[in-house]
Amino acid sequence: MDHEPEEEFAEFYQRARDGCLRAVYASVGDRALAEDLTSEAFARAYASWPKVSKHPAPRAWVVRTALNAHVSWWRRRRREVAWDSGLDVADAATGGLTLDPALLAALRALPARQLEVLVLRIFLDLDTETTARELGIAPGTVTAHLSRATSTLRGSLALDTDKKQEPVS
Amino acid sequence: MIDQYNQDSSEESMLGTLGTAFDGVRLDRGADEVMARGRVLRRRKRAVPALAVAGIAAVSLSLALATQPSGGKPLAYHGTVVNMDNAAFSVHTDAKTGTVTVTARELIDPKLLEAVLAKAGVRADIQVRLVGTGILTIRPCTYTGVTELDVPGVITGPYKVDGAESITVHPAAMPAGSVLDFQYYYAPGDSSSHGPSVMSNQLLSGMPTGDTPSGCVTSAG
Repeated sequence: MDHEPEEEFAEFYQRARDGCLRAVYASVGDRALAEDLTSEAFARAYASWPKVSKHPAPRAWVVRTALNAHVSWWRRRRREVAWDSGLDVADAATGGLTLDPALLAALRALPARQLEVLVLRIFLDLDTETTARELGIAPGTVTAHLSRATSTLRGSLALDTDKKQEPVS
Repeated sequence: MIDQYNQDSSEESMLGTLGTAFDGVRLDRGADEVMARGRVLRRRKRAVPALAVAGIAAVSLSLALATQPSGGKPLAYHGTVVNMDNAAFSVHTDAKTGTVTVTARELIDPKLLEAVLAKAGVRADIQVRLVGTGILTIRPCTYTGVTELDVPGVITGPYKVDGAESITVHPAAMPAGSVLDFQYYYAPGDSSSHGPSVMSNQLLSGMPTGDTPSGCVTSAG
């Protein structure tokens, strides 16, 4: 099917934006920053769309670009402030959804390569071969990183649950 | 074999749990906004080789103007150094760099600040707006007939200095005819002062016509 580039990019953006945001959010642990980084990466993807559209995993290209981007332009564009009835001013948290801080902390405590493998597999649903190609590592190494990451997370989250369940003396 | 199956199954379950935890995370920015930014980046990328060629020809001229910023204007606009402080705002020209720092505290009279900024070489359109309390999302306004210019180095900030918000503007780097759009939002305070305030700034291709802009501020209650 022959699409205009704008239409083709808009379709790609609609399909990919949530998964890419989740991958970036899991990597940086800050929702507002993740939105700015992801938006900047998609803008760069659009600026180089003839090249990016031919990339074997364009969503992975967006995520990796996001994690290397600077976001001052988006920061300047949108500001959120919370002025309560006491008229204190503070930067507001973005969005209504808040994730379990223990989960975000456990993700961010993973070694960088394990986290990369994990977010590409979970949020972009890339298979082992594509993940390996994207990260420039062997498929066996992807499997090993994934296994270690899930094992570490299981341990961290179980530990956190145990702590929460400790009786108050 | 069974252990491997159990491990795989447990791994898939963990991945599924993690994926589900992020289900509500969605990027609500429209494709139009992202594509508009992409067009600016694309134009800038195309402009770089042209600027590189022009740069070679301009080397000798640059040496001659070494004490002046690009564009050949003097560091302080027309030599005017502005240093003004009052209860509502401050404007200071840095004589070394030519940059102008504007701090807004209790801004009431936008015309007075526009006049002071004009002396400092910054053509500005300033709006003062009373807004409600709650969570506010502030974005650059959209105007009919003028567009936002993305010129790096013209506007720095806003940033906080002693509790008040400031920006720094580089007048010599402003393209000809461009205008600093300066929105000052404040919450209701008591009878003698404003509540908290924030500012939003952008560089426009020209002076807005006076029509009401759109998209500047939304409130989530």
